Amino acid sequence: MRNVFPLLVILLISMFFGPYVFIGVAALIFILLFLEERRKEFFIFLILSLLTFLHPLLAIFSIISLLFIMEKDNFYRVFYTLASLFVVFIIFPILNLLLYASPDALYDSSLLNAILVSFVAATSATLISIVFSLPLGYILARKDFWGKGFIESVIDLPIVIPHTVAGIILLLVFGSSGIWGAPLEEIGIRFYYAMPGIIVAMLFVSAPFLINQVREGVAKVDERYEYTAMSLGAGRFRAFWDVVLPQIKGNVLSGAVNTWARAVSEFGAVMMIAFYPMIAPTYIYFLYTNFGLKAALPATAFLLLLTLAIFTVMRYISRRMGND
Amino acid sequence: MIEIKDLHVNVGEFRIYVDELKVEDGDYLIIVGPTGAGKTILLETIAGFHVPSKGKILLHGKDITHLPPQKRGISMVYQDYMLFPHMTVRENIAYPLKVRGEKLEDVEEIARKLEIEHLLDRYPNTLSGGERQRVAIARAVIIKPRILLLDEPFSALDPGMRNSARKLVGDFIGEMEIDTIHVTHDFSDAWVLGNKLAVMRDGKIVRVGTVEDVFADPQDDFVAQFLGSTNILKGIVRERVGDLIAVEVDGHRIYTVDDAPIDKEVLVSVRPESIVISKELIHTSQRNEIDFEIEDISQEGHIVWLYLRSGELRMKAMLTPNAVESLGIRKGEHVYGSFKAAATKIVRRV
Repeated sequence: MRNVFPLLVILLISMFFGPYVFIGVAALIFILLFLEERRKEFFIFLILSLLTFLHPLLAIFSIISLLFIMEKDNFYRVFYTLASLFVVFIIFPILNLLLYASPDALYDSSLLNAILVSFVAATSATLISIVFSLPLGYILARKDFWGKGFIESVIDLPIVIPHTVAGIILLLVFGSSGIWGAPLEEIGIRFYYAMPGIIVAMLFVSAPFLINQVREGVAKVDERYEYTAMSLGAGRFRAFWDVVLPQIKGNVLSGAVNTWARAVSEFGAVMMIAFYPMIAPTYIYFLYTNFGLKAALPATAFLLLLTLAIFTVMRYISRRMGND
Repeated sequence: MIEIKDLHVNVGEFRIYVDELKVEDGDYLIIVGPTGAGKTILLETIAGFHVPSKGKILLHGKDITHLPPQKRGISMVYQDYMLFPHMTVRENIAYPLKVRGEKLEDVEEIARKLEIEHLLDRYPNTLSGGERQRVAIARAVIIKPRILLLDEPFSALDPGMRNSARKLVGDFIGEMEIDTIHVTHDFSDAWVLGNKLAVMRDGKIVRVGTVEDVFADPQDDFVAQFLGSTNILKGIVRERVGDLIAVEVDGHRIYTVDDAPIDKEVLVSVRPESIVISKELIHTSQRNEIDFEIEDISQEGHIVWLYLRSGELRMKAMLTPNAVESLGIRKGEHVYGSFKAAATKIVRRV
């Protein structure tokens, strides 16, 4: 007997796309199930699905009937229902927006430009955070010192600070007259309304993911691997490179993917320090506030599609590379 | 040659203090001691992983106390081998060569000697315990270290495999002529492999000397207790009798199934639980029968120890309280102690 959970999710989603879609999906599922197992109860499900012609919400009766036919355990009936409702809560709005995707977005050069800025900034922020997260995560995993607990909570702070607040915190020091911003601007590195500002904001809010992953990874690698490598002739750096890094590769990759994802989706902190050059989320916000929802939809749908595709591919690659 | 002088090391909860310890060229030093004695920390300090708070380590006369591990030429093999899981057996063994930028040439030869040649392209997690151990040893000796440190190398193996592993590894290290320090709590390691023996307790070396000397004269209650209850007898091989050889020990002839050349000095072990006690002489297949006087009887829980003496020969036998009662034996009485030639082992050729 198949597990009913994915069928629940599919049916719950399809009921919001109108009676024809729902009955079509229900009929498909019925055929599939009936071919596998000739049970008369499945006809009840099929017939009940026709109720959607009266009112779309009546589809719920056929979904419940299928749940009762396929799952006998009350515990799982309740848990499957609640779990599938939440999955639908995430998937349906996303699918719904994708309906507005249109190739027209490809002709919007401002959008493409904003996406490029987003990707370059997020990738830079990720690379910079790798450079700093490796030593920081390593020290937190290997060493005990006074104030370690404090430092660990500080690292997690950017996750809880509201992002507009984070933006202002950074603006104060990296702004044109800020303590770090002013001298750096003199040597030609400008943060306010400039690319470095975007990168700094992304780095601030996203690096904790990578630091924590590195720390967890290093903690799982026995320090005696390094000792052994050293006794065999490797210096400390070499031992780290040859013996620790390959063993935490999976952690670094998945941490980097999460960091990149967090960075590319950041809006609040970036907008505070650099509204221009526009990153993709800023551009969407700009379209929505100036031209309304309808004008923003094609660009939004396109951005969503692209983000989903990239995130899926990166997840896949990082899993593949991390596992071998 | 390595010399340790007045060494103090503090690592976390552990404290070790080694007044003096010396490994001469050609030595195979066994360090025994209970868990928590600080044996592993001592090895790690010699390897350079911990910085001593005081004292000196000299390698061939040169002070290496503050030299980083990679410059010492001292290889360490841990109890759980620490094979790099992301490298094949071949890459593991070649690692010391790769790090030094040397040609990767001796890998196959060393693998053949340790009978792991067929495993070269496998990953460590697919190997058995014994195979992993041999890979770890191959990796540790491929650059011919000045000192080899072994931390309980056989303890992760099945008891049945230990003997053959011990022989293979012992022969190999002997052939390579590498000075070795080997930490263990299995005394068989000391018999088969070591020529020097040190006993460690609470972070200190409480006794050190040749294996024979330490066993023959522990000099310390703790050492004697820790060295265990086995009867170790020193004798000379006199003649061959059928399948057996006769070893003369303190004027008695003791027969064993183990082989050794005539006129050779040997150490013979007899487990105290394999000695059968009787009041009358009973001719059995037991081969060895000696008329003993009972010097002392002591009871520890459900075990009774008989301290036996016949002339200069002293042995211990182990009985149950019931057996002692039914035999009705007392201190000062004479009994016969018999034990099979098959239960009598030559543990070492001196």
